[in-house]
Parts: sequence; structure tokens; C-alpha cells
Amino acid sequence: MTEVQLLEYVVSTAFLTATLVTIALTVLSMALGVLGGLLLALGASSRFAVLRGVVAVYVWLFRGTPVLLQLIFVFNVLPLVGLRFDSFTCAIIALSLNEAAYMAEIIRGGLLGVDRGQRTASHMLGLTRVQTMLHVVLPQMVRLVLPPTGNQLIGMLKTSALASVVAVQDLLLVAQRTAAGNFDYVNALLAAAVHYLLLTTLCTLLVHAVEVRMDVSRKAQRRQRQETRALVAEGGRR
Amino acid sequence: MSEILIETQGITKSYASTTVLSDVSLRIHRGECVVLLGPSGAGKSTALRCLAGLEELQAGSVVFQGETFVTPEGTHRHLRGAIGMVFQQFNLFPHLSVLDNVALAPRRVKKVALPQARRQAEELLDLVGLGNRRGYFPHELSGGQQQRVAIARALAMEPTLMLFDEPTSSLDPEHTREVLRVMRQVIDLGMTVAVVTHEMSFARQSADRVLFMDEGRVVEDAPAARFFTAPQSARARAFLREEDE
Ligand SMILES: Nc1ncnc2c1ncn2[C@@H]1O[C@H](COP(=O)(O)OP(=O)(O)OP(=O)(O)O)[C@@H](O)[C@H]1O
Ligand SMILES: [Mg+2]
Repeated sequence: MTEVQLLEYVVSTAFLTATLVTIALTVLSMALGVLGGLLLALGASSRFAVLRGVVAVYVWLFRGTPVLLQLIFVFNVLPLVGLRFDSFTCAIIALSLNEAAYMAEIIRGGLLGVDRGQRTASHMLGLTRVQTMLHVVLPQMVRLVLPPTGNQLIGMLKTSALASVVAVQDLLLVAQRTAAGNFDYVNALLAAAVHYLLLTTLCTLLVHAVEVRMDVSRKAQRRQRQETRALVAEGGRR
Repeated sequence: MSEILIETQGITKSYASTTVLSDVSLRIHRGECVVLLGPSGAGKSTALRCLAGLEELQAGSVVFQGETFVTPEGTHRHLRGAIGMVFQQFNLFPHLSVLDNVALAPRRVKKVALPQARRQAEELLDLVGLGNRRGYFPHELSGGQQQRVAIARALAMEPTLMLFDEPTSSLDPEHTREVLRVMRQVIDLGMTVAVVTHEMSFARQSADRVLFMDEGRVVEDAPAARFFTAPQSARARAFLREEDE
């Protein structure tokens, strides 16, 4: 292993482009997964038994089979029924369908975590169901699901590497090709590892930053600091 | 007596095999302060929730402002905040500041513009003595302060009836006094209120009428003065003896 070669790989155009592909895969799959998970979770708490049943089957199916299988299935079976997508799109479809099942469970838990009294109070104030969801339940649910969603995001960064099996030019595939082409497995794979580590670290920091922003007690502390400053300034003027 | 604001006509409420309210008829007149008393499990909270339209009925109906409001078929009217409710557990919105807790419903339900909703909320917070806590979040307030915000929040929808379900039972004596003082103020503004409470002194001082409940029935319905000096039923006498101890 030579440090120079490793560094060259890390900053090479091929690896940087591949990193962007991995980021795109992760962000798009995660965004669609969260959206799908939200819809599924709302379905799971619906009044209609049929809808609840559909959601239960979906979650059972996608959590009970390997993502890799789902990915290969999407890649090979959709064309048979006339749906042709490039491999990147196939990866997004498979990863987000899978993610939606996990996010559904997380969001369902978050919705249950919001006290029933909140809905009763909203109802008595005259808010409609939709308004209650939008202004009372969802904002509280988001705070509850943020930590597990952060974990899912980091998981997705790593799971996205599976897309390499359907020839998406992501970090892992580029690393493997570089490795095979140059007979240099150590440096090429380490270069990919460096990028993954940077990305997961960045995600952790990002999630933490969002949590801080949303934390009500931090907002309260900010206000208290402002008040103290205002008081001090006022005292200084006198 | 003045006009009937809300009444229940022979309502029955049961869960599976247990009957919680059986054939309860009660009325509350405009401007009146009615206190519901009775031992634990008597059905006081359930009666209040029925008035609020929060419970499905097995029989009977609730009539509000002369219109059918609840029947066993369901709820027939959108109140849009016309009945305010104050809960034992406050149920403030933890993610919103005190000011936004009060301003939320007028903004969203009545479509009041934000500056006006905030101004109105400020006035209500002044009324309950929390004008200096506008920017605070619920978790920064004492229980008594939270309950006063909850009262302001309900008042913001300009209700015609306010229901209080044991509003002070999770509070210490000092905070209980604060909240009762604000409730007194609300009554003095002419609000019609129904209160479930174990605060006998409040009931003695503020109630126009007492509904004494036991085992899912209204056992005694009497002007407060008479209820406390000359209770008619043996159960009410026993209840008052115990509360006095
Ligand atoms: N969701 C429910 N399922 C089954 N039984 C219930 C339910 N809610 C209330 N009950 C029963 O209904 C009865 C009356 O309850 P309620 O809460 O109205 O009494 P209460 O007079 O308010 O008592 P307390 O003074 O303890 O608050 C109780 O026996 C209670 O166990
Ligand atoms: Mg009760």
C-alpha cells in the first residue's frame, strides 16, 4: 500500500463521480422511502381495514425478503412486463420500496408516540383532522422519528452499494473496477472506504444539526440567552 | 331561569358490558356555573366528554343551543371551538410557544391573520396573568402556568361553553389557587361553565348548581347553597362527610 496511490484514487475524477452517484442513490431512495413510509404509516392508522391490511402485507413482504433479491427482481422482471428503466432508476425503485417498509414502521411508532390528548385538544379547538395532522401531530412525530431516520439514512448509504450488482457506477463498482484493472485491491477499496466514512460522518453530523435545530428546549435556551443579553444591554444603558 | 345552553336527554354510555352512564338527563343554562361532584368512577369525566361530543352514545342525545349535537348515530355538528375544554393533563402543544399555542386555532380555524391572532393571544395571556411568558415553551412552565395557558387557548376560540375536567388535580395547592382564580375570572366574564372538581371550597364559592353523580346516574341536582347545607340523598351526605375530613 502506498499513501500516495491511495490519495490519488480518493481525489480521482472516477471516484469523485462515483461518490456523487452514491449520494444521489442515497438521497433519492431515502426521500422516496420516507414519503412512501409516511403514506404507508397513515394507511396503517386508517379507519379502513382493507387499507390497513394492504400496508401490513407490504411491510411483511419487503421486510421479509433480502433487499438484494428485491433489487435483482426489479432489474430483471420489470423489463419482462414492458417496463424498461436504466440500472440507476431500477436501484432507486428497489431501494425506496424497501426503505418505505422500514420507514412505515418507524413513522407508525412516531404517530403512536404523540399523545392522544393532543388530538382531543385539537378537535375541541375546532381543527379538522387534516389540520391536526399538519400542525399538531406531524411536527411532534418528526421530532420522535428523527434519530431512527438518521440511522436509516446511514444504513442507506451503505446499502446503496448493492446497486453495484446491477451495474450502477457507484463507489463500490468503481472501486472494484479500478482494483481489478490496476491489480491494486488494497488502495482502491481503501479509497472507497474513505469516501464512505466521510459520507457517513457527514450524515451523522447533519442529523445531529437537524435534531438540535428542532429541539424545543434548545429553542428555549436561545430565547433565554437573548433575554439575558437584552437585560444586560438595558442595564448598560442606564 | 334563563335559556338552556346544552342538555343531555337520557344518554346511556357503555363499554362492552359495563354501563358508565345510564339514562342521564342534565341541563346547563346560559351563564350558569355547574359543578359535577361524586366519588371516583361515578362517570363525571364521561358525562363531560359526552357534552363535548367526544363519546359515542348508546342511547339518548345531546342538544346544544337548541340543535341536536350528538346521537347514537354520531356527531351532527362541527363546533369549531364553540365548546372549550380544559383537561387534567393540560394537553398544550409542546412544539409551539405559549403564544402560538393560543394563536393556532384562531389562525387555522377562523382564518384570523397572524398579527391579529397574536395580538388577541397576547391579550388573553395578559388576562390569565402570563403576559410575560409569551415566548416560553410549555415545558418551561409550572403546571399551574400551563393550565392557565390552556384556559387562554380555549378562550381564544370564543366558546359559549367551557368544560373543565379536574383542572387542578395534578397541581400543588399554590398552583391550584392560581388556576381557580383564573377560572373564577372566566365565570365572572359571564361564561357558562361545567366543572368536574374535588375542590370543595371552589364548588361552594363558585357553583350555581351542583350535579351529584354516583354509579353513572345524577343522584342529586340542586342549587349549590342547598346541596351543601341540606343534601337530600344519603349518598351525597356520605360524600360530603368524607370530603370534609
Ligand atoms: N375507555 C374505557 N373503557 C372502559 N371503561 C371505562 C373507560 N373509560 C371509563 N371507563 C369506566 O367508566 C367509569 C366512569 O369513569 P369516569 O372517568 O367518567 O369517572 P369519574 O367520575 O370521572 O372518576 P374520577 O373521579 O376517578 O375521575 C369508570 O368505572 C371507568 O372504569
Ligand atoms: Mg374523571
